Amino acid sequence: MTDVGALFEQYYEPLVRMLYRRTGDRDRAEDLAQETFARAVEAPPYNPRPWLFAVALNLVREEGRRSVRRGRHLELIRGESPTGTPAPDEEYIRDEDRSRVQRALAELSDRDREALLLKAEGFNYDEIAATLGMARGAIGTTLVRARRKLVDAYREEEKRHVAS
Amino acid sequence: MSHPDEGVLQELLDGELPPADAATVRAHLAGCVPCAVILRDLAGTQSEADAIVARLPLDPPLVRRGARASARRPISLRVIGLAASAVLVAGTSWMLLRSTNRESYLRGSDDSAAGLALPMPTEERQEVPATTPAAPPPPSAAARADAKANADRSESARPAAPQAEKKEKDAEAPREAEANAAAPPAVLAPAAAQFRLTPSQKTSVGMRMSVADAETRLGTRLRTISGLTPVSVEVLPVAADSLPTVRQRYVVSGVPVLLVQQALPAPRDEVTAKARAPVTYFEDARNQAAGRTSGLASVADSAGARPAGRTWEAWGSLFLLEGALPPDSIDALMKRVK
Repeated sequence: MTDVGALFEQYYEPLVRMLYRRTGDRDRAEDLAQETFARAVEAPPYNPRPWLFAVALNLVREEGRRSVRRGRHLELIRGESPTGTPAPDEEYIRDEDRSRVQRALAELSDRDREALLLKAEGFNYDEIAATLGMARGAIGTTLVRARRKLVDAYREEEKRHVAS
Repeated sequence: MSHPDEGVLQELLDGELPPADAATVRAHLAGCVPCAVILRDLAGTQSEADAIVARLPLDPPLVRRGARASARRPISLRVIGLAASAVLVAGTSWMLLRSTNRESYLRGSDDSAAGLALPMPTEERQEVPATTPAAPPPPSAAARADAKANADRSESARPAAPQAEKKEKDAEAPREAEANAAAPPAVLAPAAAQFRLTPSQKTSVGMRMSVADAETRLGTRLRTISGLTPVSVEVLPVAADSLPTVRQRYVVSGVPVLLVQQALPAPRDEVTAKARAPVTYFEDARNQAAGRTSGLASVADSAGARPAGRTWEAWGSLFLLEGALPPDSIDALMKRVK
């Protein structure tokens, strides 16, 4: 028996966080997470965590493909709107920084980025492999590549920022 | 041993190497300066990369975000979905949901994971008639301003937000009532301006289609809310081997309403036997605890005896209303489903 309510309590927030980092859009992240749980109700997952994250990532990809087909330009990289009430300067700096992180993440291939984001949610190698349909033996190298690329891309973004 | 590759070193750092392998690699590292340098480099990159990812936090936090969040987000907890196969077992406090197509999702899994049950506390149901006649309190100025600001997508003016959030964080399950008091109060008719469902901003994960196409896909007539035009009609899920499910989005008095209809193939006997469930309505306890005031209602009925060998027409409706509708208005809406 799977209690979807309990799954929701446990995984909704990490799922939205991962989707937010993946898409750069908080609203889309919440929509996609809700869609994922709607599907979990429809087909109770046996191994919930990899299942939920795999479905969510598939939805992101499906959505991306459809928008490409339609010729709609998706705003993939967008500074998240400020939601608290920090001082304007602080807010600006924070948004700038988030945009830099999102641009840096966008430099990674889908697979590298997803492996990295799943790791950030505490997935172990077996779970990452199950979620992304990869061989377990490839996870270590994937993470090394993803992290290097992210660090390099972020440093580039910082340089550009300082130069401008 | 030969020099371990970077993937293996990364596995060591992540504690993912089997103990015997880890011991071998460590022994090698003790005597191999180049590999030790690579390991240190990997560790540095790892902590730097993880720090970069952590610069994208989820704030404000989602869970218990409370009134402000529910005003901004039209849909919240859709966990209790799939109305067509939702079966209310009369006289108990459990709502059973059973999927007839889980095989397509659960290849190779244990058959005992068949159904799922969501607890539906008895007191929850007893409360429904009690709350129905109670007139909702008028919206506070702050809540109204907040909702309006959100509807306008203006991110600057949200006076009530931090306070509401703080309150939500403190609210534990036993203090549900208190959390609800902080939520925006129930309004149906005058709320038209409070929500604006802008399709461009909404994610559509289903395929949009015409009503006629949706009916072809369902193999039966599409139930609609009489007098209203859906904002969108989508077919879900996209997978070819899944049961056809059509989802309609409506905006009723400014409140997003979702109507889900699914064509069921011949269901299992026990499902058939229990499928003649009455219209039911309940407030979702988790939403209440979160200070949200979503209403959720579902219907499952069947057209009596199932003709043998033919597609059994069961239909159900899932309503998820947010924006603090009084329960009786959900009932009223249910009656308009034709």
